[in-house]
Amino acid sequence: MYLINGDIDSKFAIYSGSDDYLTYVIIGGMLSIFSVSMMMNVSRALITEWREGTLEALLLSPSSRSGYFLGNAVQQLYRSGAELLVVLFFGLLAGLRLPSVHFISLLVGILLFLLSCYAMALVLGSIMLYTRDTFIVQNTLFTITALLCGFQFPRQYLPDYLQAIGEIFPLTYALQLLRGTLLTGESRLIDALPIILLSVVYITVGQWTNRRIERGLFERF
Amino acid sequence: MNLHSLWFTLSAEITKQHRNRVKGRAVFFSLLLWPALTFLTTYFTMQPFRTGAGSALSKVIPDGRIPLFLLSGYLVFQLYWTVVQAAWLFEQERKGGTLEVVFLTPASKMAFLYGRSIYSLFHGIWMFACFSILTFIFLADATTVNWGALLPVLVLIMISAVIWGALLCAISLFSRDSGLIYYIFQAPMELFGGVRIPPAVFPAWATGLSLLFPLTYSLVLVRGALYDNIGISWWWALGALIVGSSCLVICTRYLLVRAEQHARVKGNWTLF
Repeated sequence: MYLINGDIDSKFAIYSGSDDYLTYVIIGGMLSIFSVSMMMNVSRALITEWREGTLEALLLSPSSRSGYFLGNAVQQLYRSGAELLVVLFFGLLAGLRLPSVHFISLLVGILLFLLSCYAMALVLGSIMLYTRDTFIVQNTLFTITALLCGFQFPRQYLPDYLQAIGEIFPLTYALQLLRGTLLTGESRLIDALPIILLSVVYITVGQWTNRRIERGLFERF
Repeated sequence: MNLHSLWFTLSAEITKQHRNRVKGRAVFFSLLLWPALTFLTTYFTMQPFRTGAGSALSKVIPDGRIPLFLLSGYLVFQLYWTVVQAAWLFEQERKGGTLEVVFLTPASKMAFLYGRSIYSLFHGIWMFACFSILTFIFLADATTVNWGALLPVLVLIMISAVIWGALLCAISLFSRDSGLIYYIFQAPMELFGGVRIPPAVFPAWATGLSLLFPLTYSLVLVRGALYDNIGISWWWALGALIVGSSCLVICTRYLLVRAEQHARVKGNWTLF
């Protein structure tokens, strides 16, 4: 009823590999909520420390910065995971139907999705720290990813140049891979390559810029 | 209370809001960039649905007019959303301690509430203009527009939005947590008001909810004028909006008096 009687055009099945529109959007909605909550909380970690006055102590301690972010991500994982279970429950009630999914590809898909959220959160966090702003930075990124990454509709409907812009986010590929696994039960692990490459680039850039911004943080203020 | 002092209070509140709320970049992002991107996302979300002759969508949206349908939806939604923000920001008034000052002065409290709401509307009006231009770029056939109906309807909708905003501000007088307003009126108003999904395909309970928002009637009026499809339901929506808005003015007045009494009983020396 809400989905206009499921009257879907023929291109949808070609683009998505399935004609189950309802499952397609429910998976997209779940992963969208999950990724936003993961990225938001990991990226806000350092600026929250700065606002609360504990950043100085953190920077003075000899602790590993990667360990700090990974710890944050793990803590966020079970919080977002609980959210995900609730959404999954309502998704199943609303008509989510998953085919028999290959367990290992699903696990790989989930891990790569987490990796890409983590990588993007590192870069997002350093932009937040640099601009001293969370509201504008995070909301702008989330409205852009909602449009470009293909959470709600197959990306092939976008004009070419918007599709190309969407490809700079590891999240786009990770979403494609994980959704493919969930929706059609099949996935090609070769698709994991761009996710890993882009994530490595994002993590490297994120760590490097974080270090530089931290160094300048106390000199500027 | 004479007209001069009403005007004085109104303009003072508008000036105060202006000084508080114009803060550079944030305005550009929250009023133009995010709504525009969200609009595009919604447009592409509608793409997988079949639109040709005989499709389910063509029964509720005139053929090939999806961009116009969505744009008119967003346009009117943004008008109502700008005034929701006035109420949403109401908690600053309490936290800043300025609310009790307003209550202690002999200024008209109704003028104070309407001042907030009017400013919020004008704060977003330049964005409204940008969206309107977009509407007419997407609108291939301007000849079907009933201009004689559209322009007065737009004025009526702005008045109704201001009244709606003042009512929400009056509701905010009862609680410190005006963030609640945001959760009630962002997604539910957009979903049930018929911004993206035509109310004609709603189940009965959702139609019932949609009738609570003046946005729903406003959309019927604007879309009717844009498609020059003015029938009996259009006149009903017009009547409902005028009568409803008049009732909301009385409700605002009532809530204001109750909120003031409530504050006197529950507050301490600092009122809130």
